[in-house]
Amino acid sequence: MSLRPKIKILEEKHRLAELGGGQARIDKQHKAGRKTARERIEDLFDAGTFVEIDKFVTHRNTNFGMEKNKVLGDGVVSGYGKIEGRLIYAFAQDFTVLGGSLSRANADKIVKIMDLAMKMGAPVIGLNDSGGARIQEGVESLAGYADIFYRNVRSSGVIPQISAILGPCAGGAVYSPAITDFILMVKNTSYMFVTGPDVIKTVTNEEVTMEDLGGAMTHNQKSGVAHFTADDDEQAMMMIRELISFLPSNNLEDPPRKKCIDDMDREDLSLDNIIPSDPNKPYNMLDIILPVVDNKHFLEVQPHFAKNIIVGFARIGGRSIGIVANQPAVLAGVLDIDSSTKAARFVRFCDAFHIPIVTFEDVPGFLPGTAQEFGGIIKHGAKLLYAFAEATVPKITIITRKAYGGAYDVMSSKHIGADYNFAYPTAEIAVMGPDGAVNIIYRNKLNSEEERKNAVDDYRDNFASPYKAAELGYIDEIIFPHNTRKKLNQALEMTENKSDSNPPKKHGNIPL
Amino acid sequence: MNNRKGGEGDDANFISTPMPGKIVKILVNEGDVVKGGETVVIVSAMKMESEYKVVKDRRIKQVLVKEGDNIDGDQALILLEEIEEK
Repeated sequence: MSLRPKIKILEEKHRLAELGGGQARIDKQHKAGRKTARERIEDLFDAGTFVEIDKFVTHRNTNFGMEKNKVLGDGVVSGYGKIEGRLIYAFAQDFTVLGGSLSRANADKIVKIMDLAMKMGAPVIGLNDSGGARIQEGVESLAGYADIFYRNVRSSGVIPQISAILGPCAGGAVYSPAITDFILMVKNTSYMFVTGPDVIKTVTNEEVTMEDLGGAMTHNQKSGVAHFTADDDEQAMMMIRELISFLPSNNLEDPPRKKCIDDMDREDLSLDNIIPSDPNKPYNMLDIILPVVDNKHFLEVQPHFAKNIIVGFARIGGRSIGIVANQPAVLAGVLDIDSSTKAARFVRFCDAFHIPIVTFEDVPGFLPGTAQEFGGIIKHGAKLLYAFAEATVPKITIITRKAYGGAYDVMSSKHIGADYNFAYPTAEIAVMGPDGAVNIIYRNKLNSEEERKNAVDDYRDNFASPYKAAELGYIDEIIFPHNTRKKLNQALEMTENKSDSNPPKKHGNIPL
Repeated sequence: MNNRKGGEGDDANFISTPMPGKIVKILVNEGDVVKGGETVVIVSAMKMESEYKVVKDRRIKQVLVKEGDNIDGDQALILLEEIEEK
């Protein structure tokens, strides 16, 4: 007796499972410029490393004739594989099977790999492409969502969680990505919203397109919900691979250290000329960041949202670092509601995963005005202060120019726990700018414009400099800009074994 | 800034600043045609003289402020119009 027929059955089951919703639907997906769940998984993982789990799972629903509509795998591909040789878990919703809708059975598949990822301490990547809950299953489908949300929250800060939005993602489905650490969206093919355009029209008579309401640029630029944009599915997978390369697998590990071929003592004389001599002239902070990091390689997070602050990942000496930098070229680099919350979330991510934080500071202060005050700049600005103060990872700060007022305290100052604080000779550290300060100190005492000008110059020389702060030990070292890379490397090396922790508590109460 | 309007690729039909400040310099006159990326006005706010640029090629329809004026946040400073195809 031959085993051949039994093997044939298995082969046939594999074939059926891999066909998903059928060739016609696969073609339709391709025509829309989107790849299938399995193609995306292929792109995401190192070649040949992906192992699929639960390939033959089917749903158990018998309502509305669903018992006749079963597909092996039930619309989600899940399993584990490797990215640059490291264990990673992933699930990919298959839009060709019942619109990628979430059933009890396919939620269980996602839950299974999330539980495995927590036990093994490895990141989870979710590739979302789903019409939402499977309506035929009713509350069972909702329960499936909630089981996933619950695990997203439990895993937060333990393992990195990354979401790619590669198709529609509506209603409750948006909240799982929202809880994860990073959201990536693909231009023109992905959408996220709590209620779609049709519902909005019925309820409020507002007319809006899918793209305007929840397209990739809407969430990367206006709402700040998403962190990255890709042009197509393939680029999206490459960006996730790059992001993962900066992150540790879990909160007990250090981030992977890469071999560094960029000279650690490399000086860059161009850095001495970037900051304009006129303190009122803007410059681009990226011109300072790029020459300083390894191979000028900087992965900017949320590059289109709240551009007055820059956040992202880079390496110095092969170590992952998180960079937070004021951007004087946009809105003078002020701290406002959006920039505070953007940076605060990033700082907390770095802190959760042992990524040292390097802060480049040129901040004129918090943005004044009713829009900001009514919008709650007090509590939003407090988030950034809280995040920096709470972070126990190595914290290194470089003041390139302005460090005024409360914003000086907030931007990782010595006083809230920074380990090493540098300043350029161009730094101006003071309670307020020279003009404003002179107006208050010499109120009604200055008679001519010339007297006023002298007073301003005098103030600038004596107070708007890094030397007062250095005398007090608030600045550890004043450095030549061309030496920045070397100095940062020394400070990172010095703080490498930093061990610090917050007092034991259930959790703090960050102002939300 | 709870309404952060505009951004790259957006068709703004006026130039405004998100912050209150003072007009330092106006670099264009009514009727001028400017190229995308060109600076049209410099505004001093938060200890910085920031340059405000047009996103796309535009014609200056009307200049609503003059140098030295104090302005509010989100106030229209310069009205733009599309360059009609000929």
